[in-house]
Amino acid sequence: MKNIKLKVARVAKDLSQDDLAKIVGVSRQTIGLIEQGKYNPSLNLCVAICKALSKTLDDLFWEEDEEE
Amino acid sequence: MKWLSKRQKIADERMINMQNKIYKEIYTIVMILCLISIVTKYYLYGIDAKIVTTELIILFVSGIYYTVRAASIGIFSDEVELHDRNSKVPMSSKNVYIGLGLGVIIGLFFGIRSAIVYGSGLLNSIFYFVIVFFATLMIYLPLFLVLFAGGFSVAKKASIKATEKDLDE
Repeated sequence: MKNIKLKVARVAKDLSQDDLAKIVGVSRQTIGLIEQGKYNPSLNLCVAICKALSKTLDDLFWEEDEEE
Repeated sequence: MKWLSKRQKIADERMINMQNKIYKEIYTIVMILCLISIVTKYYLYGIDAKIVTTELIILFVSGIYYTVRAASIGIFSDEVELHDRNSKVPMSSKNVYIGLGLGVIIGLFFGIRSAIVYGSGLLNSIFYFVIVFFATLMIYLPLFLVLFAGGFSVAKKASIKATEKDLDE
């Protein structure tokens, strides 16, 4: 499932995928794949991304169940 | 009917990570054993490429397999990106330098060997050295450049293509 929240938060901070990748120390493709929901980041990487975007884990990575 | 739907099994990440770490260590051990085997065989039976064919195949095939796999799933270009971000010398230049360096080393080796084995007198030895050195350089320099710089460039292009395909979908 695509991570729209991450993309929105990144764009709101006026950062490109490359900028965010440089801040957290991963490749641009890794950020791209996380946004597309094709790669599950480790908790450490999630936290680094959240800190870089001044967001919480809930803000970016929590998905409400559809049934709820 | 939620209970009918297949529940996705959660794998134990810690276990998988640890297993991968062990596999990585095994790979290093195998490579070291191959090198030890080559050195021992050369020491016991003399230098002959035939007696270390198996070891060379293991060393080369695993190296080539890694490069091909890394390029096909797109992490090769990621590795280059991270390397170039942290290093002053880009990986592409490093590969050219390695190719050039190996070419010169082999040229020097054959040049000096010819000078010692076939040369008689100082001038004659220098003549042999210069001739063999440049001849070897002409053969091996392009070969190593194609192998290192060319191989690198092809793998990087394939990797970028694979990543773009991944990101486009």
